[in-house]
Amino acid sequence: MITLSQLTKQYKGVTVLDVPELTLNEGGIIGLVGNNGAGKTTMMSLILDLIKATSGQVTIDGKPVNEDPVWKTFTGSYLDASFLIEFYTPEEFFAFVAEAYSISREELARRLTQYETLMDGEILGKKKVIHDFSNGNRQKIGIIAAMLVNPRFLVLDEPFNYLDPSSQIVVAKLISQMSRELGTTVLVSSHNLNSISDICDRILLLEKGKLLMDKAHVPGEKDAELEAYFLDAAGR
Amino acid sequence: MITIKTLTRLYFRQLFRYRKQELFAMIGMLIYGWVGVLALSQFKGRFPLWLFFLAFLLIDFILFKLLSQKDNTVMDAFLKTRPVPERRWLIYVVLCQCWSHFNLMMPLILLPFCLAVFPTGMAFLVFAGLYLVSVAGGLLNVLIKRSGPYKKENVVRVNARQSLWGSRFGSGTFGIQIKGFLRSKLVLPELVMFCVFLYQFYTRGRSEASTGDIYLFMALFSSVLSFPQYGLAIEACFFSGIWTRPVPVRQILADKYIFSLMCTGVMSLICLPVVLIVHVPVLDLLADAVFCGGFCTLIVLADAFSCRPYDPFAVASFKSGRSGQSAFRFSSFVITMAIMIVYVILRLAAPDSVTTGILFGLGILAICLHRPFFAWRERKFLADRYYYMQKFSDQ
Repeated sequence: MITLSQLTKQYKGVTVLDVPELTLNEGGIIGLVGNNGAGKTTMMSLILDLIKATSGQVTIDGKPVNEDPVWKTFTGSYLDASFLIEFYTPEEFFAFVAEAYSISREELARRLTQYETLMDGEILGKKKVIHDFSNGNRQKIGIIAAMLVNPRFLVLDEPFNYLDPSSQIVVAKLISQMSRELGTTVLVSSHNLNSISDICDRILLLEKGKLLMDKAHVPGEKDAELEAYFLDAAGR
Repeated sequence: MITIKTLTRLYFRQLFRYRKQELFAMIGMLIYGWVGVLALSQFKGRFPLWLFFLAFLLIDFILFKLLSQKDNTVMDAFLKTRPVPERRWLIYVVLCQCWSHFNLMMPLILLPFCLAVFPTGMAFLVFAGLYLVSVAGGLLNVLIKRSGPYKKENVVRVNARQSLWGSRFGSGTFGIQIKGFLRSKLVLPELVMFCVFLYQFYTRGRSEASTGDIYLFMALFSSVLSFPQYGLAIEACFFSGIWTRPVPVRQILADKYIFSLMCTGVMSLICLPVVLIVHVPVLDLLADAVFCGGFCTLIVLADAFSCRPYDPFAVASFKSGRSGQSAFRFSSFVITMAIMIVYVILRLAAPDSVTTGILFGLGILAICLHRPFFAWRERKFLADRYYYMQKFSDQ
């Protein structure tokens, strides 16, 4: 269980995130939405202990993330390209991740077969380093590296960016499958309301660092309240 | 429309804002040159001019121009999308050679030597000649870099886009050290520095053992200069990916240390035949190797976190590292200079047996203590990690 308590983050006196209380229970797919600058990436960075909270804390299974690194052993994440080792080939990068999580070569090969549809023959065996792939393929590499460890907790920041429509559908299916079969708790942010609506069973709406909405959602259904909010925001 | 004036202003802004370390290093070398004039005054009037120019050309063109000069010759993506005609860009690149600090510094450093060994008027004439040779070397460097084949791959195929060197060395944190080294632009400077110092050792070692030993040390120390001094500069590019995974920071430091020991070991083996030829005791080689690989690497890596990200794919002067900054840190320059000065004092002032014993002792002590040392450094890092990680991502 992931808990955010009195969590705030300020930059030069400006509050960019202010979450009094938020609990993410085991299992389920939580969608994080909001306009640019809402604080989505900041929240994820705080959960992953990449930045220091101004106040409050994040705990996973009761242990503060900034004090006990045990959460790293069961968490997979991909926020942006800075997660990638660009001078590695995809094979080497996956092997690096597997070694970090004590996954054997045979097991790694077996797990990578689950992502063959997503890779679509464009990732492995190309004999080039990650830097030389397109943005879309690099995004795929990062997502696969986060998911192949079969994490209990998965954090993906705008995973549908740069992906073609087919790949977006595949990624959405993989996320749903992981949550259903492994019980993974997934926190995913996106500007793509359709993708979020299709897979999430809980939606969090952030605006200027504050949690405006926290509601249950039926995957596959449109959320009229959410659409109304963004239409209204566009009109302001 | 972007004019030459705008390009020039951008050049000097990025020079004084992001590359101050280069200027400080060159000012230091300039001062060293002016101090060194006293030693050469005995050669006044007897120095062969042709040798002077030849030595200058080799050192300036190979070390400064080919390996170090970061002045861009090809527009980076930022400029390509702006209305800068190719002809205007070429004029700007050529004009840059006239005021580039790279072209000016070597002649300035050698000016006191000129005054020491030539008559005064002749000295200034030689200085002007050196400056012209330097500018010509800079223009030749521009031509080489703009030629098609050079753009695709460097001389020894170290371009990360073309080369998959190191594929056999595993993919864990140790693989990062080897592949980060082999697939970045650090290999060529390392090889050249090593060869230059080894040659100096060969020529000087036959005449004077103590100064020859200094060059032997520099040949072995070149691997510490080339790689560990960058600290976590390579990992800084993807530190978020490391931090969110169960990869201990002390393991990264230890892998860097072992890699540096390996490099020093390999270089020692290469130096062995030369050591035997010039009749320098093999024990000196061993002591230098243990000191360099064991002790010097540890000291340099103590400063591992105060680094800037090193972008192995950066090519342009407006973006020599991430955010246009050089990965080279002034603090590591100070540390490496201090180590060299201490070594020179030891070699020149203390008896050989004492020096060898001290070097051996420090090296072995460092090797024995490197793990607890890195565990301590890791604790220090964890205490201040947000500051360091913010630095990595800001730059």
